[in-house]
Amino acid sequence: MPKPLLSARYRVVVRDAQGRIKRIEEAPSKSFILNFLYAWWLFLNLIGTDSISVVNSSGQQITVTLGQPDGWDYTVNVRVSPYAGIQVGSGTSSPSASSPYLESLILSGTGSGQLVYGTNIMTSPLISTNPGTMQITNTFTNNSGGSVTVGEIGFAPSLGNWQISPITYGACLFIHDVLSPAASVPNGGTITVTYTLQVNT
Amino acid sequence: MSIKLVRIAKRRRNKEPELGIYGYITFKVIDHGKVVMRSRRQMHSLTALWILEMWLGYNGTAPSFVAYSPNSFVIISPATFSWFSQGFWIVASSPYVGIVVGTGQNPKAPNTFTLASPVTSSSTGLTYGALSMPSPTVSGNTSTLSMSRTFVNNGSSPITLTEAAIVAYVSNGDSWTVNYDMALAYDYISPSITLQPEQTLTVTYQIQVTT
Repeated sequence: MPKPLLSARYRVVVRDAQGRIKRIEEAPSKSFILNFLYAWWLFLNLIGTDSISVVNSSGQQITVTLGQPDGWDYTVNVRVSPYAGIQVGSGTSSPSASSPYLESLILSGTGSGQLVYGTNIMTSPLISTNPGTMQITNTFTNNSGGSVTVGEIGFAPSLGNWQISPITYGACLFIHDVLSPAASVPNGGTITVTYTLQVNT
Repeated sequence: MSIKLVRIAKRRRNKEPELGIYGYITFKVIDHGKVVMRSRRQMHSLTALWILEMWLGYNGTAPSFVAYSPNSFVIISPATFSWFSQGFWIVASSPYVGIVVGTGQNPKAPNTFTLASPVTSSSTGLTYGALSMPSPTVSGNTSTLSMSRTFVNNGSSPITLTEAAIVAYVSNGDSWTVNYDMALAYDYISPSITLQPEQTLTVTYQIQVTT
């Protein structure tokens, strides 16, 4: 059976306010979406201009227009903080290939239904081993006063059109997974999401 | 401590394909307007450039890796791409980006970023055509990115091709002072393809994701 060229796995760990583990889930990522290929196509095909759907640093859905000589600005923790890197949402519907967003992005904050986004941690990539891998982790803290349900997660590195005015950055969703059942994060608790990307040769 | 292990997915080997991105290469040889060979093969090797691209933004120091510019091999030092707001494209005037072919074989490894023996474009040898790369398409749950290039043997001798790659032009986009050609994907052409004089080879890559 052939191996995929590129695959991903996710790991979800939910802890209560005392740090006790309440749930662990680890599974192959099911859904790379069209946005992934589209973003690569845009940057490989730097002729003229085109646009792509992303989320800005306020969590709003926006469109970024890209054009030569733009390129990857593959960052997390800056520019589109906190929504670049790993995102969490409350939706539970199956991902759609052509939908570039989580169904219902959970905003960063302490209000009802919100989680405080942490800082993305990326391990140094392994490129001289087979498979080559890269890992990114983020922890989301529930200070909302009630439980928060996480039904979906995603990997969304930032990109930017820093050669076009006005400069615009956005978090571009590449991978979208649904947790089944959804994960309930108790007040004071955390949910840690780790994505591992793997290149097989 | 209460640990609820909801799911650890284990896909049965040899029964279900692993989830992820798959790729295919189609080779078509035309001789005086007639298709004399057509072969669709599985891609095996994306390189770690896909991963490096996602990691190098502001995330510290890059590992050393090898690139070529276009045919002289160089070691890129760790510091070179520590700021790697990349320029990164393959549709360019140079024939050495996009789909390229060669007559050697490098190890299949994530950090194989070059052909072993690239065949350069020549009007009296293997002539590279323009790269075609339409925007990705989606059909149901499957999205596809395709690209293709045609090569014509305008020489007087057969040319046997044993390797192919998708090569991107990579730059430290903040200053555009460091520019290299690096393979995004590297595959053996196995069995090899021998292109006779006046024959045309079209190589088409298809990279597919399933949602």
